Amino acid sequence: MKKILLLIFIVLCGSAHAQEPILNFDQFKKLPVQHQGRIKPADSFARGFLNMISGSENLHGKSAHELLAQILFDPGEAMQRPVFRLLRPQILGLEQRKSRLYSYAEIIPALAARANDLEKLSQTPEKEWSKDQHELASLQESSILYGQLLRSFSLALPLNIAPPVALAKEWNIDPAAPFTLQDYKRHQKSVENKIKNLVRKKGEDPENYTASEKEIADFAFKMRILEQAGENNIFFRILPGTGNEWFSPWALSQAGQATPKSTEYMQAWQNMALSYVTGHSDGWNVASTAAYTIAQELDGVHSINLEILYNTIHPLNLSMLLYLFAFFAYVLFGMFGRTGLKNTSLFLLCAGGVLHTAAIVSRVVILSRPPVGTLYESILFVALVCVIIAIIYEIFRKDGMGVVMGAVSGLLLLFCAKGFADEDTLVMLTAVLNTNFWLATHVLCITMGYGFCLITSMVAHLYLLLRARAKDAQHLMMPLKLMALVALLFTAVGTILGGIWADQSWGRFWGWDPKENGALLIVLWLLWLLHGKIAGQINQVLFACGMAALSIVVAIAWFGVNLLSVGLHSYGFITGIAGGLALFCVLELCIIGALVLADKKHTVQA
Amino acid sequence: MQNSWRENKTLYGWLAFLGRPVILFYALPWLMVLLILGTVAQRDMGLFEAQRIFFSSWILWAGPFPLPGTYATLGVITICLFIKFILFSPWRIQQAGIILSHLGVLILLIGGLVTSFSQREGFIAIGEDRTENSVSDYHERVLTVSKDDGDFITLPFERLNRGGTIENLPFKATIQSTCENCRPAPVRDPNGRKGLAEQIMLRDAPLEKEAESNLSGVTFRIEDADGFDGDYVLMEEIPHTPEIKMDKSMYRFEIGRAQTRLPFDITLKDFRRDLHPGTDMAKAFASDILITDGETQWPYTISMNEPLRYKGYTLYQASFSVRPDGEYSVLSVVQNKGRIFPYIASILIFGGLLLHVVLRSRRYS
Repeated sequence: MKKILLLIFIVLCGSAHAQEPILNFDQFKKLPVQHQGRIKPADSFARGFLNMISGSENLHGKSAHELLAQILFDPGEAMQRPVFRLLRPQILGLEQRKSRLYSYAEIIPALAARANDLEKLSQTPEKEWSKDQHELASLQESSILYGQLLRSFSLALPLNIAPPVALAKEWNIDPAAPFTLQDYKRHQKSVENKIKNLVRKKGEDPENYTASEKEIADFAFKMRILEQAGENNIFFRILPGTGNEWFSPWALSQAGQATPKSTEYMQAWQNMALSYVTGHSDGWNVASTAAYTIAQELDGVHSINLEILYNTIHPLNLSMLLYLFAFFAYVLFGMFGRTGLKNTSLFLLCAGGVLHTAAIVSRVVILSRPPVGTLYESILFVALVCVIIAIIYEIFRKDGMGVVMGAVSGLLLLFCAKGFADEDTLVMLTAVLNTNFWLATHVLCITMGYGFCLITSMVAHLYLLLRARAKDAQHLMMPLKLMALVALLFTAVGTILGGIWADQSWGRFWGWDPKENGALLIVLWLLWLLHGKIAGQINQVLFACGMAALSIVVAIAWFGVNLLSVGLHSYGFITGIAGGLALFCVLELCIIGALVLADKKHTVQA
Repeated sequence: MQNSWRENKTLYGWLAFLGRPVILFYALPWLMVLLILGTVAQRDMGLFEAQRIFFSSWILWAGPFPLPGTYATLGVITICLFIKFILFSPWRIQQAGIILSHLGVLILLIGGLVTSFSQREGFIAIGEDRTENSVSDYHERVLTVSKDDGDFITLPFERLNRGGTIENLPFKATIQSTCENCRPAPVRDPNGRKGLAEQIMLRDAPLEKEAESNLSGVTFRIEDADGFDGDYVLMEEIPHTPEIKMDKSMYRFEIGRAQTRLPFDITLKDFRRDLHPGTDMAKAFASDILITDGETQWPYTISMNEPLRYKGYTLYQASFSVRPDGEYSVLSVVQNKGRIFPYIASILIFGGLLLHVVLRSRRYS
């Protein structure tokens, strides 16, 4: 096995020029790739893959798609480039490095040395793995995918092996010209027949062969090894077949599902590969433009350009920035009292909201489904709901509190969403979620309910803060009650719609599943506070305390129940946030407690 | 006459007390406590057991202390809401939203009550090109004795008590032991044991988190059956059927899930599992079936979120399995007489709350 790897390594190392070409990747990054069940631009594929192995979307001053091109077309160089981020290099016996980045050439021998451990690990339940073992398994997985990418175009790349002179003459080719495995496949049968005859006549011992025969046998053996290395190479799916499924270059050559269009498209990719290898920028531009032109006519590529734009401008990051500026502008207004600053803060909040909306709409267009299907997407949506409610609040009340609430909630939630973002956040959904009707009704309704609950909680905090500072807060009581009612409307209806969805898909309205119970908990909490207020059992301060604590109830219902990892909502299970969630709950309780104590102090003094 | 109950001060006092939101104010926190406890408990004891203890109980036992269970708490809330709705609702347009919402919640609670007492759940595992109408219960197990290939006696597992006998047999059959979740163990002394019991005995194993995963079993003794006397074992998933021949009849013993029959037949024509291209992630599951009811036949496709509803039964796509003899589609079968209630309730609650918010915001503005 090691010898085979070494051979592939040597052959691929010599397949490109030592000098890196300066090329224009504008067309290349738009080429479609089928990955994780959807068609995405090469740029998204590259970002997601690089993020997975290195935790970054660019490295060594190169963008992800430039690195992808190097992996595909210059595998020899890509093997040496440190791209694997290892937090615990000692698990592979590698020295600690400041950059923590290691190359494929470094980690492969180290992983091979731990093959037995990896074998044992594969037979152990994942729950029992240590952190080291998790990193080891994840590294092995990444290295396999990286290896697949390295060999994706080994079929079309010039090899560091020339055919023997006798064969070159027979095939009428120049032995010095670039020779590819694809060239070999045209003559494969004749070479195999030659070897068969040779073995029949002289046996399998090469000692009995002439020098020329030895050369042919050695050449055929190397070609066979390279061909075997291409088997099961299915990761980089760029070529459409006859059905919905796309194929990698190797898979298409083996599956026999090529169409005239895919053959033409493969030729364009091959031209790109050759231009990259030779550093021929004009040839690269022509080939990548040709590939892009063909790609535009393929099925399922309708939103490639939109996704490129989404990747390039990072609208959610820009929104976060605008929310931050809006908050600072309002702080400055508080300090200097200039009305212009207040208006600017509202303008910045609105601008952030517009970009935020554009980001979510883009995701809807790209994925062709409603905006919320994953936990990450629910956070993005709730953040937008909070911002919109806050803007409406500000337009009506004009006291600046809407700006503060919108900026803080938008900023914090988008920041929080980053923690839940996978390498690619634009993902396909499991079968049970594959229904646009229920995603557009129940899920949006309940997430809008979360948004209203969070803003209600913020208004309640504000009420307690004003009281703690011995200021009049009575004017906030009415909006607080109204907000709570709207929150109840959305959460109650959302919860019932969820029950109806469960009735449609699982055959029962209510099954006491943790996620269902979480949603019910919010409804009960709101009902309790509203009825307690009506019954005169709780005063305004307690009512506001309960509403402030609504954020805790929402956090438990939204994230907490997913930690239990039981029930039918298995697609939402998460781990690793228990500490953060507990800290949030404790902090919230401390803040509410401190505000109430400060209020009591004022009341007693008065 | 209409207000005669108002004149009865004691009755009025009680009704007024029950109709006040103060009871709800104390009932709701307790309901939330039950909800949280029952939810967290699912992690360790599984849904079925947690549901039985916390959500489907009138009394929750905290050691020797009885506390109100979810049924009791919801019952109190329902009674209070009913009294409030009928007798003390402020029938004014300003309160129309609240009245509608209360009506919606009342219908939801009554629907929940109907569902909890009438819902029956089971499943059909059906292979391609096979016809079935037998629904297996998820939880209930039965011991069946058949006589010459026809069901003769069916006993629920809960009624199989140690020392108890199975009546109406021409020989004596006495229950020796039962286990809700059994573990086979090797037998040291096979004397007096017959069939599989010569090799294995049944031991109690800890109950599984998911009740449907338990494998129940029973050990019973046969006497006065000529050459068949001895101890026998039966356990789910072990394909072993003790047979006793007596008076020219063959008696077979089996243990398994309780079965009910659908009033129509289902034939699975094709089971389809679509994946997202290039992944092993399921995009859709679907079963193409043929329904046969008497002389009438028609095709139907059951898929995720698209169940079949017929004659009060709902059949939906639950899962699938691949067995040596082909692909099996697992269809869950639910019979629920209260399923219409949530639909009506959701419309009323939505309409009521929306109206209330609109009226409130007008007042606010």
